[in-house]
Amino acid sequence: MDSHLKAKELLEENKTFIEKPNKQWFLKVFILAVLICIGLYALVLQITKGHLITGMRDNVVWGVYIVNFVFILGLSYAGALIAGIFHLARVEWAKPLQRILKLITVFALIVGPVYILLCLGRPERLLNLFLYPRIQSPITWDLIAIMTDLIFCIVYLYFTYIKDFALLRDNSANLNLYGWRKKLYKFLALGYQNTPEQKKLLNRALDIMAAIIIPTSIIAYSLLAWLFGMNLKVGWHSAMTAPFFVLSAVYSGIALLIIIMWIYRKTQRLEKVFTDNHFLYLGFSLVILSLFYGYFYFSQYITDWYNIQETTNRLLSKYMDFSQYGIHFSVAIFMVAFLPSIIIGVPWFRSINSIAITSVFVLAGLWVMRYLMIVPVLETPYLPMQDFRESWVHYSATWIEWSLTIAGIAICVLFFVVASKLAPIIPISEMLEKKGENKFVIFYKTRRKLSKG
Amino acid sequence: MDMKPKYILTTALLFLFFFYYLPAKTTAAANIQKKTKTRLKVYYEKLANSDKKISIILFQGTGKKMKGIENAELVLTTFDLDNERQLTTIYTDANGNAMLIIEAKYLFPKDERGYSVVKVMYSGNDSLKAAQKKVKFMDLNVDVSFEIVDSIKLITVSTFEIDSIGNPKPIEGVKLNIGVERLFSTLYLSKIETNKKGIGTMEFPEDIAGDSIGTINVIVKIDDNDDYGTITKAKKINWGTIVDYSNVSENRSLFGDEAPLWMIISVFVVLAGAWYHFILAIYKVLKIKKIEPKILNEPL
Repeated sequence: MDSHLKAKELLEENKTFIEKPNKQWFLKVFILAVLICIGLYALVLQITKGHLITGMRDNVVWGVYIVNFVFILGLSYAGALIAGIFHLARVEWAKPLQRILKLITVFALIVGPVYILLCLGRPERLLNLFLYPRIQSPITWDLIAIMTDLIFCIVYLYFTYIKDFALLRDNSANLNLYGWRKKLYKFLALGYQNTPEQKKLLNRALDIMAAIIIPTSIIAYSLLAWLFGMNLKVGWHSAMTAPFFVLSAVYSGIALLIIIMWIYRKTQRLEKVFTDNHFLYLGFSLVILSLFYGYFYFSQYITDWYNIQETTNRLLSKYMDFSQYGIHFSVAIFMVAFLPSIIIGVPWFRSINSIAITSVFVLAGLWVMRYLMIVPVLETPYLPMQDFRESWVHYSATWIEWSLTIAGIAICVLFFVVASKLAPIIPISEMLEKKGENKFVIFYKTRRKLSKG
Repeated sequence: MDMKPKYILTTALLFLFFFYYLPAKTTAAANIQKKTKTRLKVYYEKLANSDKKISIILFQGTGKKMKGIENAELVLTTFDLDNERQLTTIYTDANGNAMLIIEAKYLFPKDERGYSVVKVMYSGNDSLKAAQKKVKFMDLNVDVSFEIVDSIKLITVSTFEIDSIGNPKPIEGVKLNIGVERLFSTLYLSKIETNKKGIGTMEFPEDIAGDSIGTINVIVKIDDNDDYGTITKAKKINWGTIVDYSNVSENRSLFGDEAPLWMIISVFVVLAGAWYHFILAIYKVLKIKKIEPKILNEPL
């Protein structure tokens, strides 16, 4: 069957999800909007009453907001990194996952940095970072990295949509769409007609973007890690921080990808697209990453444990003390380092649903591990804390912080709901490209020379 | 059949009871509005410059339901023998807090035992009950001096009251916290207690970091004493170890005024490389529009 006929067939199968929205769609948007409004109310309260209504105090100056910032940016960089690698390595089975990965990247990169603004007591002073940047400061590095990555990722996402916009433009007559959407597809398709020259140009642009997105993501997340690693604080000051951050990001990105795939498979009946094999391959990746995570964490822990410094011992004892963070630590480390090996590793437990549920636990566990990396460390300074009230020493998030956290998740979900209405959640055109049709731009000439030789 | 009027009567009475009498009673009760109890907390503190501070919190409820009362008028009075004399009137802020700072030169009248009393009164309103609270304190003086005996650095603190004829009277058994001022809070070094002469001493450690000439600010504090309230005294001395911060900056270029050359070059090479390829990719995509065939290709 010709590729354009296959494309039409795939578009026909998925047209209900991109055509004019129904009541169910509006209900989803309404629920998400309510959650976002609660978050906005909390934000207004926080701005008018100050940070006193959050759990953050002089000593523990970072709380749930910074945990969300680190965690969500990790998901973003993971999305970019995995998408870039899959694209450049021409992984055929991973083609249907490309769009989800790129959407995770962009949406997380938009929402994540908002949490750093919520941490600021005087957010208007953020402007000074642009007016008076110091190239020596890891905060400036991170600012440059996030801005660069955001621009690159938005443009990369758009490039991957061009073929599908052209497909929608050419088939809009058969679809029940609003008039403005037809005009939008025509404009965004950039006159793409799938001629060999156009295809070559677009594929080269995609290859270049994929190639620069991979190092950009690794550098950007490493820079974020160095915000912690460059601190002389116990628990942060380690050469392991950046590699550990990147590993955690990829791990959480795969877990989120499985969850989103599972949701779309269930709600849009995409069993033919997101097949059992996708879940198995990504599930096994989770097992491998969980073992790596366990190894990295153990390596970090035992190095710290051998350190006889008093402050280090105080911090580590908090992770083992069940009256402090013992329960959080035990449950989280079980979820991230052992659970995938048990549920996905043992065939008896393994199923599509169990892989998805394990991913939910892994994601939750990784969030808690981020929390444990930040809050207990801030509660354990080198100098003893004196003349402080209890609430200054022990951090406890308030409903303001939780509602803004939920609002952030709701915004990401809302973006997904809107994006999957605007265009198919699977890259139809890309999926239908024949194997070997899209030659890899960087090694193309090298391969030709080799074959001649 | 005879029983029927009885049932009707009973039902009617119950109806009247539930739908007229009980709601009427509840409404009547609601009309007599209960006033909410208010509470006051008053603290006395003598500041480092010898000014006196009266801190007040006016609130309703307790525990998690505790809520400050905003913009309430508080009348402060003091007692000269049996005569009550008004000091001033102040208002609470949004959290129910109010504060009065009295200059050191103002002398509070004392009773026969040497105590001064400040009374804070809140007169209440339509919904809030009135409240009042007294705080009683003695005016204790704290002096800090430094001496070196046999190469040992000693901080000496003396505590005394001024009697009615103006002579200092040493006070024994006063517990004092001694510390040094750090960036965010005080680092406490020791707790001492004054002897019969009203004097307490403490050996100053050799390893406390000072500024570029070794100056440190020694803080002596009495915390919430039953008789004297909270008293803070501060005095500077160059007993700290000298920390030359300019050298620190040179050694750790990350915090220097100028970024090292390798860092500037690295950042610009990485950014230029990334942005060059980014612009190249955009250029290629924009060319798609330019080479759009005029005769439509087979639809996608």
